[in-house]
Amino acid sequence: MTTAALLRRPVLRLRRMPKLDRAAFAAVGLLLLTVAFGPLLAPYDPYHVDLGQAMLPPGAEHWLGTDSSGRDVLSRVLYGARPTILGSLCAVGLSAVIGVTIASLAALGPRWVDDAIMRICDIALSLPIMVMALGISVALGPSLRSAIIAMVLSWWPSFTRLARAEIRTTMTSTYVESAMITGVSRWRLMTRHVLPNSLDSVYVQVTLEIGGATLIMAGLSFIGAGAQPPSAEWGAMVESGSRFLTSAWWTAVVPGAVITLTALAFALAGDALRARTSGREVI
Amino acid sequence: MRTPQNTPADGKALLDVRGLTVDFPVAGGRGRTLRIVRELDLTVAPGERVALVGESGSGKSVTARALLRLDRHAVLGGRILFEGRDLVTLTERELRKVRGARIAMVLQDPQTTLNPVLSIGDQLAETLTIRGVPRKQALVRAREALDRLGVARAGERLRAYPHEFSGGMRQRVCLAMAIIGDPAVLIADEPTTALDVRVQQQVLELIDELAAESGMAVLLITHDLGVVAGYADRVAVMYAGRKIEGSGVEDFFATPRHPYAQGLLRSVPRVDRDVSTDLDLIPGTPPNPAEPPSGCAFHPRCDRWVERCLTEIPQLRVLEDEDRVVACHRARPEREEVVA
Repeated sequence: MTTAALLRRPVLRLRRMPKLDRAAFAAVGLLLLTVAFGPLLAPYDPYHVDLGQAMLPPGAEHWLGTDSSGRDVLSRVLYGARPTILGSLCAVGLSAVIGVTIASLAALGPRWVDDAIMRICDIALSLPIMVMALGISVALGPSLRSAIIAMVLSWWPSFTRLARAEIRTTMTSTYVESAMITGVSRWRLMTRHVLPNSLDSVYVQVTLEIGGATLIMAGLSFIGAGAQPPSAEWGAMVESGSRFLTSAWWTAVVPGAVITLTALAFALAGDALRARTSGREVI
Repeated sequence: MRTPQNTPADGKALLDVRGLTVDFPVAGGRGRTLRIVRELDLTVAPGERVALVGESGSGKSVTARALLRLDRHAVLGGRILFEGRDLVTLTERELRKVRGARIAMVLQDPQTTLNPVLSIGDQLAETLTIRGVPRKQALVRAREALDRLGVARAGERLRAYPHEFSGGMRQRVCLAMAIIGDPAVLIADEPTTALDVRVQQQVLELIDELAAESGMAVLLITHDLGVVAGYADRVAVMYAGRKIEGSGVEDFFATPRHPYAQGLLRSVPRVDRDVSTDLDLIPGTPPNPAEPPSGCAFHPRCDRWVERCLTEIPQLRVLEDEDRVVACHRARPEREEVVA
């Protein structure tokens, strides 16, 4: 199934979709809306400290309670969608772009270039992404930006591997050959004939990975290698809230639950998307 | 029928292939290679229709693809002289100017030769736009090309995608793609194998008309002798990577000289013969290119071999009084004249 055909087909044929998939797509849509408009919806300033209002349980005034500094948890969660989800999107998106570019070089270049790139990928993929990202982020000096860079650096090889396999398959197809016969340049061959027919599985993989990326992003912030307190990043919120788990459980549980649901929603949506690309196997 | 010219390297040739060899690296063979095409000579004169015939595995498709250097890993030897240049040594950049513009090619299976994500118009126009023709003008020429190939409502069809076309229509689009650059040579690599019989004939007729209109030469790669009879001026027969016979099409069908060519003709069912008689098939199978037989590659399947066939590879030679070359020790006459 090709992208064009896929796009022409109503992928999101909602009525015929299983309920779970529908819920997943709806959740993803909601999360993206939050990324876009969250700060407008937030009832309070997420950084306004008011110690007199500290650790209030969820109620009419503060729907999801306040944290140890008296900041409104709901507002912080709404603001936090940006660093966490947008950060993960950036990390995965950049990884995919870099990964596909390097895969194209591997496919076009001489055999030794291909071999070299693949060995680098093998080495990178033998290390757990979390561990690598943690090391790089700490080395760069913990911050949200470092976390994103670290994730990109440790993530691109998995996209390179996937894209290279797809590109190589497409390169052997007759229409690529017939484009070659018309005399197109290598660059044009790649961008117009090979890549548009190779990237379906990469798109699916991106969706699938965003959930995982959210977990890693939050994880990095939680252990202090990513976004730093007091920024309203979900992982950082869980970390600062975890100290008050017995006295004010909501300060940790709310952002924790949001992280879980986000990861779940993206994973399910990715899975649904994969099922919809006509059952083609995607690793 | 146009005059057949049979002497290789006769100066007037548009495309003059001399001693072409094609080697492929063996996967995991540490630099070992397999020779698929061996010292092949082939000429195509302007406007001439030449058929390259052979069984699967004889190297005919590899030859066709080698002419445009389509296989990245193939190692070419010999010379492919075209319009004063040797395509074997041309740079990639220079070669791209030949591909599509001077030598075009139609591939076997129209189901898969069109890019599924590009509209027909975009694909047709590409040959021109990459050479600096403005898009609008290129689309006009694309429509004209479709018109010429008898595609109805050509203007509308430009916006359609390949999956909206039938097999025969797709092959017409492929042909339009091939001729839009107004090439001097059209290489047709089994252009009708994947089509049903009626459409086969339409496509062949189209190729023929286009060639006649524009004076384009056609190199037709086929295993179908019926196609050869109807649509070629000259025939070259390949076996195990070598050309073993070359002649005008009438001579070929009247009096084939090489035992393999004779066998090929005998194995074609004919309407003027009793259907109850068994087809006269050539025994055995073509040789494995990794272990070619000694001497003449055909001798294990030949019914007329002599001692000499086991040891000495027969060279192409011109037969006396005939406009024909044959690579066989047993072909008459005995007087030998080795082609330089």
